[in-house]
Amino acid sequence: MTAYILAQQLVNGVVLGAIYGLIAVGYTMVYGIMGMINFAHSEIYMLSAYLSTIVLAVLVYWGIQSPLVLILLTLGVAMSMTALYGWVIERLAYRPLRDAPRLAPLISAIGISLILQSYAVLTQGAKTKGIPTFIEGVTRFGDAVNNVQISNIQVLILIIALCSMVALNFIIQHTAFGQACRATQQDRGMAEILGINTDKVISLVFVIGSAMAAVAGLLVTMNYGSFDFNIGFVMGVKAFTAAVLGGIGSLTGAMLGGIILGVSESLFAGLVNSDYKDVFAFSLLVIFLIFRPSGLLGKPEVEKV
Amino acid sequence: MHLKHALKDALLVGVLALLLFLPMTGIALAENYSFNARLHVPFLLAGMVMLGRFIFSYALHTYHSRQWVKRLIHREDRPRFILRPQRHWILLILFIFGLVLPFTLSNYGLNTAILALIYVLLGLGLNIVVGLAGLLDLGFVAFYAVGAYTFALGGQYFGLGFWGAIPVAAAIAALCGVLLGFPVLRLHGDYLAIVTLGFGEIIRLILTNWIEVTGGPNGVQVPTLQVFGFEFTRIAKAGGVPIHEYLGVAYSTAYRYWFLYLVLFLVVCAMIFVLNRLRSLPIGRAWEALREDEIACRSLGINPVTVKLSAFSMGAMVGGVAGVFFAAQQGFINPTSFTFFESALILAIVVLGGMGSTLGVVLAAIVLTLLPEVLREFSQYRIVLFGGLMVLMMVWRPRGFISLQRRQFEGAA
Amino acid sequence: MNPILRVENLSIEFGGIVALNQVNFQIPRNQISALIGPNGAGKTTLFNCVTGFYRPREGKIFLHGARQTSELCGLLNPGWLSRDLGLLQSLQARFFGGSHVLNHLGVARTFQNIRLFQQMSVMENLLVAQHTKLKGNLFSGLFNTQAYVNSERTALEIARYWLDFFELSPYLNKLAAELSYGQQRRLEIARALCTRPQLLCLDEPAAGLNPQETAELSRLLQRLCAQSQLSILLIEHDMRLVMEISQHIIVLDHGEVIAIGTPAQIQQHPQVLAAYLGTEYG
Repeated sequence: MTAYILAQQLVNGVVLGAIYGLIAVGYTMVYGIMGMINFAHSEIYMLSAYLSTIVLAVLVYWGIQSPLVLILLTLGVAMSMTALYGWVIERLAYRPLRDAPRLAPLISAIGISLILQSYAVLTQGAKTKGIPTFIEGVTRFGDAVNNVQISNIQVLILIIALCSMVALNFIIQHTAFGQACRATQQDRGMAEILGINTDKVISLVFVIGSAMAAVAGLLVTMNYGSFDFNIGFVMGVKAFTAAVLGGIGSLTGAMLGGIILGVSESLFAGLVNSDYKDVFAFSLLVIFLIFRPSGLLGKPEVEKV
Repeated sequence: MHLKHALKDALLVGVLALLLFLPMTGIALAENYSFNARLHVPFLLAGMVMLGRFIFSYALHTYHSRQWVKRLIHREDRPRFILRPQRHWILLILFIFGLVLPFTLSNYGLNTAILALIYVLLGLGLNIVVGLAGLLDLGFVAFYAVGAYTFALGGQYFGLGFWGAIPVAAAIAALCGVLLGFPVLRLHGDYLAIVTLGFGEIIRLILTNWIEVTGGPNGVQVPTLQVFGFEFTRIAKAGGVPIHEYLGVAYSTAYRYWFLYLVLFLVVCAMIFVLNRLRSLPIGRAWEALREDEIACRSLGINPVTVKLSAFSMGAMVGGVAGVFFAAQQGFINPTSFTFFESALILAIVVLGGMGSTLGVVLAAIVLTLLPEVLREFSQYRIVLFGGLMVLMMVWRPRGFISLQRRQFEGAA
Repeated sequence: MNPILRVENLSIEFGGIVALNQVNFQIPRNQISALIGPNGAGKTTLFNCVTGFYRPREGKIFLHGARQTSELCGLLNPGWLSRDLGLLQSLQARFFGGSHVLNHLGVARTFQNIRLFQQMSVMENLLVAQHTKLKGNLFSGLFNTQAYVNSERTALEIARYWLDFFELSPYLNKLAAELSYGQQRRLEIARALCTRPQLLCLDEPAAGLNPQETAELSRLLQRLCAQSQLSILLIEHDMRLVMEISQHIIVLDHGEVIAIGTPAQIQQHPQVLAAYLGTEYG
């Protein structure tokens, strides 16, 4: 029996981890390029849950029935809307602080997350919102008592997460923008001298990160069916943990870290204690930052004197 | 020409704003997966943004106005007003004013004043860590919680009284500061911030989930306030003497608040004095030096670990003391008072006051607590305002508006 | 030679790239020594080893102080319990790094890109440098005890002495950020001197200075060395300055020492010429 429970937790963990990975992309790319934690990223994710629900509601109201069309359209609109938010936030709150002391953009980011949370409450109310489940169906492995379930939504989450990660990896590794992006990450000053518009690169990184958060926002909402203005905080810290776990700055690391965190958290919740699963995730972050801040895939840094 | 340019610019910004506002403000999600459209809202908002942008860019078309705006929005790394600290009589007047103030206030006003002072204390504590030592601590609320729960649980399990709770809470919070601080001090800037944030959450989650001891989400009753055997209740509850009976006056709920206010006021004054003195002492200078450049500090033989730990534990101590007062004022505490939002609020106080400026932090704490009271009808926009001010201050005046003059030294003899 | 510093078989590498390879040399006492070499020769890396910011892979650095001889690398790479440091300090050095300890032994340094406490006043910069020398704890300071007042007075006197020496007295209440570049360089040296070092390491002290300021610096450094019991080790690219003030020169190239000697010897050294000008001149 335990084997089935274990396997079930494993499945849940991988799905959860895929979502962490999607959000972690935003953290890891921004950190890689600007060396700062984008604290507002979690609230962008929160906002994307609202945006996708709104878009979905409007589309259903317009009479679109097919689940596939609904999902693709919602994904497209929500991603572009969220990306727009990401772009505007970078423009207003971070760009003026390029040469400011280190703490300034962090504090500015916290200001932005306060604004975004409050924006969600003011416009949509503090109550929990929900969306109907429009993708049903569960696949069972095993007999009626001992089985491992995987729902179609979970399969969909895995597929979409995988596709977006592959697409993103392609962009970063094989396009001119990706090259500019990697160059900026290595040395911003030098990239600028070589004629790369680093401001534009940074803007685009925010746009991509936000769009990925929007994917996660839609998928999580579809999986759990409900959300409120508070979902960003815990998710943000965990996604950041995933980014650190995998080695901050690395895309594959973010996905790997997400899966590891998701699985270990699910196992902890299933086998040890589900009340303390958040404590477990936070502790993992603290332990990793202290003992292996470069993560699993990153290289240790040499302090510049 | 300029008009055309400004119009085009405004139109662009307006369209952008419309796109941003349209789904969130234009469509309100309702029950049962339906929604209510209120499309006039995003258009109104976008129109306002457009108008503002138009005025701004049109006004900017002359050279002089551009220069003026440039000067206005230029980031200044120094506070605008620097007060000379020689005016002792002003301080004396303020002190007496603070002492007399509670007797002129209603219970409601008293409560607000106490809350303001608690935030002053919290702001001063966090200011040591963030403003002086430059360590961004996003889990400061943990120490506040430790202080409050020390009083509440200490009273419940060990019969700890108010006077006892202050030093005990200070000590436990400082110890927590050291314990939490020690492992994280290897981390720099952003990493430190996120780890402290994690610690703050861990403490809150433990308080929420460890139901047998902390009462969990239901919270815990704070022991009745008892001072030198006197109580502030109508009838004695904890075996003391109600103070109004002893003094032979009519019972009033205000006595408890007067007492709390006065003690808290004295604590805050002592804290301000100590902080001001610290800044011209080696440890205070070392904090600031560490904020400015850690590597240089190490090259000068300063042990960054002890300096950071001292800042961490000093800040934690102040937070713990503030927690005791919070518990004493509320009479009942639960984990919802100690969320990340509270940490962000305290950080907002420190930022708005101008990081490192004691005077600024005191003013900011008072303003930020009183503002929502004054602007009642806007109270729902309070958080947007705080957030906006945080961004604005970082972009515009990272060191705040007002500060005391640094210590002046005499030249070579 | 009665050296103040002896470097033995020092090697360090970063990610497979050998930055220093079996470096051996000595620094004479009470003289000005210069460390020169083309860019990327490993000068600053060597500096960072001597001042405790990098832990070398192997090798030893001995500081022959006035009172005792200490091995610096061992302090940075102690076991769990080093005899010199005691338990707490060793643990700290293992976990957090212990570069500050080297300053207590008498090594002070400046930085290539000036590292002043920008938002603190000139005098405060100099007082921070004397942090470890100021007697008394929090309480003696808070209550202004006599011991504290006395030690602060001493610290102020020392600070004023160096301010005067480096002609910065008029600016003592200015913020460090408000000083000119040349003044900032001098302030950084003054700050290092306030820690009362035996060995002063200057990382490109003349970088960014105009010829007049460089001449001034040269005069000050020579006076400094003549006046006080101080040994100076400097990295510098301005060869005129190096040849003018230093009595002893070490040339580094590709992480190895290629020549050691007096300025006159170095100027004639074929390998040095080759390193600086290319092999065809060698």
